Amino acid sequence: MKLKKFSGLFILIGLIFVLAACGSSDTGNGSANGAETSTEKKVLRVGSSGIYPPFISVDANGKAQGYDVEVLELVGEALGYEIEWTFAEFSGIFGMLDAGQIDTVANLIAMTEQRREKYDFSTPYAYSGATLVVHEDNNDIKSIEDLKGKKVGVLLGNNLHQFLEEWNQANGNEIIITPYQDVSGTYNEVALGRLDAFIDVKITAASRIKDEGLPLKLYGEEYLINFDYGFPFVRSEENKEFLEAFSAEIQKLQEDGTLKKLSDKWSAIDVTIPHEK
Amino acid sequence: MNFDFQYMLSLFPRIIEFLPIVLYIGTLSFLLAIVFGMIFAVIINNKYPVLYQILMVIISYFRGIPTLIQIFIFYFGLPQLFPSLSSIDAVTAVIIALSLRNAAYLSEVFRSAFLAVDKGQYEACISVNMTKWQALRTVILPQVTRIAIPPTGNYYIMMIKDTSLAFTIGVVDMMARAKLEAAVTFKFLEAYLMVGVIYWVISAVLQFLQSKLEAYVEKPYKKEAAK
Repeated sequence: MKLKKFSGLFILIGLIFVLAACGSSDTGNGSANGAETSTEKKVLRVGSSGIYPPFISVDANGKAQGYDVEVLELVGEALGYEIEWTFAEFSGIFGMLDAGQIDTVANLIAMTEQRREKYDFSTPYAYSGATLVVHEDNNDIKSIEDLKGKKVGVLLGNNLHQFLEEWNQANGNEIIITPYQDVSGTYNEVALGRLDAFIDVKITAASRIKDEGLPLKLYGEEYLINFDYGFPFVRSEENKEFLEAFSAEIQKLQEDGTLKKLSDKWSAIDVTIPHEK
Repeated sequence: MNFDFQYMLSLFPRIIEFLPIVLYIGTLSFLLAIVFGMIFAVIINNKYPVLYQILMVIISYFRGIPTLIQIFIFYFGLPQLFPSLSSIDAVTAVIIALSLRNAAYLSEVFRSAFLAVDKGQYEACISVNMTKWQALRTVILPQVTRIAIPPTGNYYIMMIKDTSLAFTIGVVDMMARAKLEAAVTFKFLEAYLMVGVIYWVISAVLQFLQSKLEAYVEKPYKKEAAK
């Protein structure tokens, strides 16, 4: 019986050693990397889902490409920063930002009120708004009012989801909102008639309908809601100064027409025209 | 709908590039899960006081909470409580989360394998003057192994597929690569099918290896029958 108790103790000690070994080797790696980066060029760590063309996507060689990428690279170059990309599921991105594993997010992040409360945003680098994707033959949906009693798909947790939920609560809760984990199958859902509409950013919707070759169209020209898009940073004193310099660079790119040029290169619609306030 | 078979094939080299990371995470977690699972099983079988109660809570946590949430808690939650943990990189976090979770499951597999070997055999060994370790090594464990292999192999295949959850915290694997590819072309069905086929082939290979291993531990039984 005594022996048994001892073997339990041994196991526990062994366990602790294994865990300690894991932990110490990791911290070793971490600090080594940190030291390396501070002596060499400064690094801006950017997170993204990598699935938001034409703003951010990944080319055949696994490299980041798109409007967001080129804007960031120009700003980074001016400030002496190298961009280091991390791709992750969108649901994990803001967790990584909070945990300090990345410095900012490049995913056409709308500057919504809730997000502004928590993060400091750069000057907007793009302007667009929401639209509805409907079936080619569907002419019933002319405004957001017409969605009442209809099934509408949203991407779980994004700002359009929030917008639609809030509108729904204020207007009688008649829209049947169906959240999706990721965008993969959503346009097919509309094409197959399982959804009456899907709410999306206009630029993305326009290019996706064209590329995917599905019998879909935009409900109309009007934006359901306008959005300004910026790069979010964790609110802190250290970031403040950097963010000012960062914003100034975006402002410069906007004023000298570089943003417009990049927008023409990547997007079918000009995304650099500020909304009328 | 128009299915682009050519495109699907063209994705193969770009997705297979990430096979090593999948096998690395899957296999290392699997091996760790076996080690931890055995330790858990021993503790449960012998009901060591305190250790047993703690383990019951741990196992109930790992079995009861979805893997994705465990990875989240481990990678984003713990560093907020213990800042030193934030230096753990994403791959390590996934490996630790996956191995502990599956150790909790495997401990039950091992426990039942132990129970399946009749207690009388152990007593018989002791009665012919074998030591405890001799009995375990030469009589009990070979039988336990034989019983445990099929369900354990199942867990290996499951863990290989569970690695795709790693993309949530920024580890790009085959599934993630397929998503990134499809995002540009919007050909999700083609990309997912390609990944599906690759995973299928991997598990077919693993199943084959498992059957070889089973035949190996089955040998003594076969000889017996031939004689």
